[in-house]
Amino acid sequence: MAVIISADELKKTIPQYSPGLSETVHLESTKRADKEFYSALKLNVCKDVILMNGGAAAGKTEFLLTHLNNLDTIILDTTLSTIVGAKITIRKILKANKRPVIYAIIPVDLEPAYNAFLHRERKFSSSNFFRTHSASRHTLLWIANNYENIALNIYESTNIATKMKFERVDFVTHNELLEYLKSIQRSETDIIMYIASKGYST
Amino acid sequence: MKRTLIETDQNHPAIKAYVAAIELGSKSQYIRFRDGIWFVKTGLDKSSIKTFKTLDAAKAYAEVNAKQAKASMFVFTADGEIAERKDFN
Repeated sequence: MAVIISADELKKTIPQYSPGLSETVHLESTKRADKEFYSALKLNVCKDVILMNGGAAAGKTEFLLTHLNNLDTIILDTTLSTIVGAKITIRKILKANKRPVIYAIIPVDLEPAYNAFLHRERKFSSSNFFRTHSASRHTLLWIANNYENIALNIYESTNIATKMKFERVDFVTHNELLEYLKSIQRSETDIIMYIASKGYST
Repeated sequence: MKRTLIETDQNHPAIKAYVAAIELGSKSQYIRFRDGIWFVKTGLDKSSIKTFKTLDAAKAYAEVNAKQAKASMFVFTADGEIAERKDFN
């Protein structure tokens, strides 16, 4: 069984937490997740360490619980939305003599993901959705550019006819992967404009 | 580049919760303001938009629909942030 470390799950251990206050306790739960993660790196004998990547409500937790849960590994359920954070985490994994493996979940259409984001139990401001979907893709491209040896597993998520589906995307060459990652880059403004075009804001 | 669909357990509680959130979103009411008009969109269907002259009128319409559907009503700012939210589920 995988050891799953999730800031969202750790929020439930914070006394003042309620789903409506997700954003308020996020910093504290992220600190706790980092501490737990670094401790697991020292104590766990597994070789691979999985880092999830993707914006809020992309389907990361849903993917890992249905497809990665049985692996003998440590999984950090994170958006990986800052390059600085990714760099520190990857260095810590390598220093622990383990192998970082990335699983990125990319929604094909951001509108259903935004709807899931608005209606799930944990409540965040919309800016969290816009920022993490932009920044996590940016970090993913940065990793591909700077760590060619790190395995990047790309999955596209779709939600059609009340089914959540994942498609694995494989690439023949690293250049092909880079081209794909460049093609999915979106600025926060791009995402705000797209969501607005679907009738959610001006 | 090759895409391969992988089997996913649609009965897993996490998947069901995600799908349920989207389904709830398909019944919710979304209010926005543009060019002096208040727009109310129902769910994912952009063609379902109704227009109103005032925010109060838009909210009154949206609240009735959201209550009936046991869904939510959102009022958005120009930058996509949530100015107001009411949950009826």
